[in-house]
Amino acid sequence: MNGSYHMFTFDFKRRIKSSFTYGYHLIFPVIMILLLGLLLSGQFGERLSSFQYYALVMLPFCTTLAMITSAYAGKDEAYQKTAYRFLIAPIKEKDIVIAKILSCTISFGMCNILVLVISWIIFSIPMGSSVLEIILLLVSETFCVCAIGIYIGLGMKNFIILKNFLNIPIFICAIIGGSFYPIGTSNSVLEVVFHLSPLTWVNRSIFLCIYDNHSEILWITSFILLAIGGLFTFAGVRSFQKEEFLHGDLLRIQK
Amino acid sequence: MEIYYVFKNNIKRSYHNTFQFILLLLLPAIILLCSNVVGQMSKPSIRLGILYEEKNPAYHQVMKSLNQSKGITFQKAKEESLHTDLILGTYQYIIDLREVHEIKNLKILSYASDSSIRKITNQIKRSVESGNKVQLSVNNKGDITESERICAYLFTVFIITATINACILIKDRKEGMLRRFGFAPTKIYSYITGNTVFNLVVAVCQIVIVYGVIILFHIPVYLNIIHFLIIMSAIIFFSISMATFVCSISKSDLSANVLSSCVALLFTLLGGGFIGFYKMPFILQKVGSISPVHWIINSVGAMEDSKDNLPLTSIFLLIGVSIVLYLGSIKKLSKNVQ
Repeated sequence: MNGSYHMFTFDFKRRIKSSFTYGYHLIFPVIMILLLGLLLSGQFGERLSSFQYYALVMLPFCTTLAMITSAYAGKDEAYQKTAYRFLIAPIKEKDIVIAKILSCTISFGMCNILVLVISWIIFSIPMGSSVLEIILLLVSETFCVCAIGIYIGLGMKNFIILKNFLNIPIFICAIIGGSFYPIGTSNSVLEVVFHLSPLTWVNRSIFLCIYDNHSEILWITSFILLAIGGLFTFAGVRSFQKEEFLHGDLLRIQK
Repeated sequence: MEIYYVFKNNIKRSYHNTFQFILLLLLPAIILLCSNVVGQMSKPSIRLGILYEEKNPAYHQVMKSLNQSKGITFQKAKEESLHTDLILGTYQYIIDLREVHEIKNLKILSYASDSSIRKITNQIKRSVESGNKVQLSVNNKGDITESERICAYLFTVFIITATINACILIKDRKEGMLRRFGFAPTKIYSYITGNTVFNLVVAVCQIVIVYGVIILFHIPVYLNIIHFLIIMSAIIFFSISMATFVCSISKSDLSANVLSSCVALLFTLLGGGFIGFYKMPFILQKVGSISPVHWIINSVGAMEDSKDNLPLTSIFLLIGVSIVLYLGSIKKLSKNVQ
């Protein structure tokens, strides 16, 4: 208990001081919302402004980019060359993994909630009382994505190659889910393909909750995301060995 | 002579990674095919949803008109997810027949602008009351045609593949080949020109493959071969000189690739490659007029409209910018050597 608490506070302070957190989860969403909202301001009419649409749709997309940020966070100790200290420290693997996942979730989740609240106020999105449910959905998505990212970062030696390939499916899922343009089709084959992307379900549940007052899909999606996150946490704890930290010496990147 | 040596050396180097080289040659054709397949599967049609009860006589009248119409697909809409379906694009308009028993009280729900909703409502009411097929004309001015869209995509893809090819410059600079060239009794421009000629030959092979794909799969590009060659030459001149310039100012492979991808995407976005240029807000139109994609789309549009017209200004502008970038990269690399 002691070990995991110290590990958690240490990791949390490191996440807050890292520029990756602010760049990817505060500045990037705001820029994308403003840019896309301005570019497509003629798309919607008077009842819904493009800024409102993109504020609600960019947040889940930027949360999936946390997979890459948390993969880097997992490899932090390896790149800082503190591997030997961790090998001889009396701390269990379970504490390290859980502390990393929790610190990533809380720090990225706080950035997401900040962007959500700012856009709620500035663009006057009619959220009402459903703001708590949307916060729950975003936090569970952050947890799921961070668990997957830390599993990749801690478990794989050459995760840089995998990270370059991770970008492509994320972008494809975002385009299919309507994060860049409200996309729809009458072809039934394409409709099945569109429903394969998790971002389709997340975006749909957000709009169902706010505009149609139906929160069932949102609760189901949140539970599924939490379950997947729990699964990857369990897999990470079981498969992590402290010797993984030694492998960071070969791939020193210049930050 | 030195240009030929550098060129031959590059060809020998490409034999080492034959698979990657062939993939690079086929990349534009593959992307063209994929975008065409997706475009054909989701043919542009207006998606309507209808909210109705079976006993409603107005519903049968509406269905009679809709069944005769072309270019419109319609389905029963769900009441629980009414607004979500409209916002996320599942249906563009929903005909609301819930409390309506006469056609003149018909309501259309949509998140588009009020003026277009009024227009569509009037069109549907008129067609259904007279029992004719429904013809909805949505404002299509400013949308880009298929040929223009394909040329804009090819521009983006060529910049990215040209940068991947031109990364040889960065590799040589790190390994010291450039310094050896500086000591040899040759000028630096022969080295860069050799690399550029290699890039050019690869790009010409890519264009031949793309043209073959266009003819084989009947992709809707309505340009005759001379116009196609002119546009493609302008595109490859620009993309090769841009790639050479980006690689001469970057310090690593990764930053060169990232920079050129970002620049290519930005040009396409601002020049109206994804959305029609005239649908963008006014300020962005002013900013987007510097984008080469905008010049390309204008030229292709002019070529499609009249077969004899050659939009020479845009082409010369593109070639002019390419020459400037090329000279800039020669200057930067000569500074590096000294």
